[in-house]
Amino acid sequence: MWNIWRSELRMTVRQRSYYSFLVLWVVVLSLLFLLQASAPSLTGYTNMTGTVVNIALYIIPLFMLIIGSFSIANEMENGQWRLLTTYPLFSLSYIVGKIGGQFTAQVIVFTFSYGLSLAIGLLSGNQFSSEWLLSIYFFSIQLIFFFLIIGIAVGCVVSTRWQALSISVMIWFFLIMIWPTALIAILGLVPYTWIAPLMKFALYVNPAEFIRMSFVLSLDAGAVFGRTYDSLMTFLNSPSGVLINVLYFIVFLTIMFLFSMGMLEWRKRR
Amino acid sequence: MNVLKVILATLLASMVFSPSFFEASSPLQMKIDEAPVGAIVEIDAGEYEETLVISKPITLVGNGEVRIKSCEAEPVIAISGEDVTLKKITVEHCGYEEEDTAIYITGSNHRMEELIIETRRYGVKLDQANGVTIKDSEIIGMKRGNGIDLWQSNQNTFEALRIASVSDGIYLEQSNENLIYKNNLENSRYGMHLMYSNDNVLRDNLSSSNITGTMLMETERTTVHGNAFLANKNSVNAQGLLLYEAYETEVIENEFISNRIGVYIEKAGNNHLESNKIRDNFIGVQMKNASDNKITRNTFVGNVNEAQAIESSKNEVNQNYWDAASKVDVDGNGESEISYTADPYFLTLTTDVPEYQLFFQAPGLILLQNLLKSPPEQLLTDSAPLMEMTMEVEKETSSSLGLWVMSIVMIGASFSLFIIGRKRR
Repeated sequence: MWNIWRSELRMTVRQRSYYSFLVLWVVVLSLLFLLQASAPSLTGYTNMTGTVVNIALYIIPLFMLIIGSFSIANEMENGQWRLLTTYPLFSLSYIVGKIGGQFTAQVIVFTFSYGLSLAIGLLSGNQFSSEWLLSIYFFSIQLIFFFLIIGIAVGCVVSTRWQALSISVMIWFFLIMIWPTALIAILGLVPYTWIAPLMKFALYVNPAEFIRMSFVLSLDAGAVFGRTYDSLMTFLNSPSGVLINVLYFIVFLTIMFLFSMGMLEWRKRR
Repeated sequence: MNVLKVILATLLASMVFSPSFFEASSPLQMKIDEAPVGAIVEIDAGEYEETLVISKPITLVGNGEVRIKSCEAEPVIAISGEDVTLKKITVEHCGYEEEDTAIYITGSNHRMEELIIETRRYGVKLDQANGVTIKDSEIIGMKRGNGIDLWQSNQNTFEALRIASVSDGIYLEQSNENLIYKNNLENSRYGMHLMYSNDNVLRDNLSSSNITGTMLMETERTTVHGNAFLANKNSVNAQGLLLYEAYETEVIENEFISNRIGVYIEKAGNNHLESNKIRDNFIGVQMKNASDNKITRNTFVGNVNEAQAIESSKNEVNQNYWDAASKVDVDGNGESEISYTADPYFLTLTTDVPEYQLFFQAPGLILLQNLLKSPPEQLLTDSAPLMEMTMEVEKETSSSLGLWVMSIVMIGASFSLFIIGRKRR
């Protein structure tokens, strides 16, 4: 597992495309930080925070899905995975190593860009609130984590990179872009009383929505979601709510691991 | 042994005949009854467990730390008649009955100054009391009764009060022409709550962390000037100012900051909002069934959702500053030629199915926004948005040194990991 982890990390940081991400993050984040100059206030849930969060939600999941799925699909395509299967290697340790290596690499590049963009913002005379910066940072890291795992799972299903790309984009489009539209369309068909429980269920199904909700909640803005979610928000804000977050994390991870592992084992037998 | 007994006896004796104990058994009420009209009655420091009834014009002044306490059904101090003055006294009501009140006032022209009132239900009740002044005082409750409660009481003044943890900070019912000035109302249900009351003035108050900063219901000609409504956001029904069936309200030069909804106008008309600073609210202004209101020269900055209105027509919205608006000033008159519209699509969506409120600011909503475009007559449109803010908006920041450290730590840590990641064999 550790070998896979290390080799994945080394391979990733040596790729040229990896550094194009560095440029991408620096450009996007610097622009956001420069935009911040025109915003009058820096803390709490304001329109500026909303904008930054939305941009992060557009861009991070898409790239993480593609990176995650490519890292496996690539090895499928060039035969490296077939070579690896000749070794006595657990599918699980392969997946964990892959996720670990990729996640480390992506966090490194994101952190580096974040720090650099912050320096650029500061040099250009902007002011920030450290609390705000950190909450956005951790929000992004969560997004990176969850969508990398989904990406890896996608990689375990597909056989070519082309498939990996199209499925990644499909998932991104469904979970991020048309999620509200799709839900509203579907919920229009069910009896009215089902809407509330189904919405709550859907909140847990889509990690992007769950992370966004926790972020808004962490800014003390849980009240924006209205009366229907009042008890849920109060509960999630309480100490046992932290437990729910941890549980969610574990359940999500387990499901994804089991799924990816199952797919790989099935492939091995073929 | 004998010595011990003596000590015990003296201790007991000193407890029984100690000054506070002694005074408690010789009531303050006697002093009050004996005092001539217009007299100043000084109360010595100490704790008095009794209830007082004052019905003639005298002044009661605490000399040092005076605490009057009662857990009985009647108010700790009941005031009637005219010209009664209370000064420098702590009043505590420790009863749990629904109507328990620390100070009950009727009559006219009384003055309360530098009081501290602790109550489990009501703080001060004014029942058909007129011309009463309460100032420089503090009322702390347990969220189960109003701080100051007015019933058919007119021309009273409340100044420099701090009222916290009560049901409604100051509650007016059928009470007119009162002045509420420079008070601090916090952690309560409503900061100020006016019902069926006209011509009242709310000036320079601070209402923060309440469920609703101030609610005006079925009122006429209220003046709301120079108040600050902060962080009234922790409830799903929270808002800075709620105008419900309120008419001809003047809302001028107030600050609405970090509330769930800055100003909520429902079924209200002919109200006038001018030169307010509406900042960092989740929703700046929301209108429902409101008409003929005038919203002008306000500054909307940093609100997640600036304004939305449904079933509201004939409102005059112009010359506000909207930071979300795209602005072009061709003729240089300080007004943009592009009108700003706030589409209430989200409000339309959530009034039918409140569960969809979870999509507040969801990234996919942009797609939906185009599908749900509201008809033009439902839009809240500012025909001439201002180019510049009508007031200063200050900015709070962390020290830039700390931020530099943060930036350098981030760069340094990730850079060293880069190196490690590349090198390791």
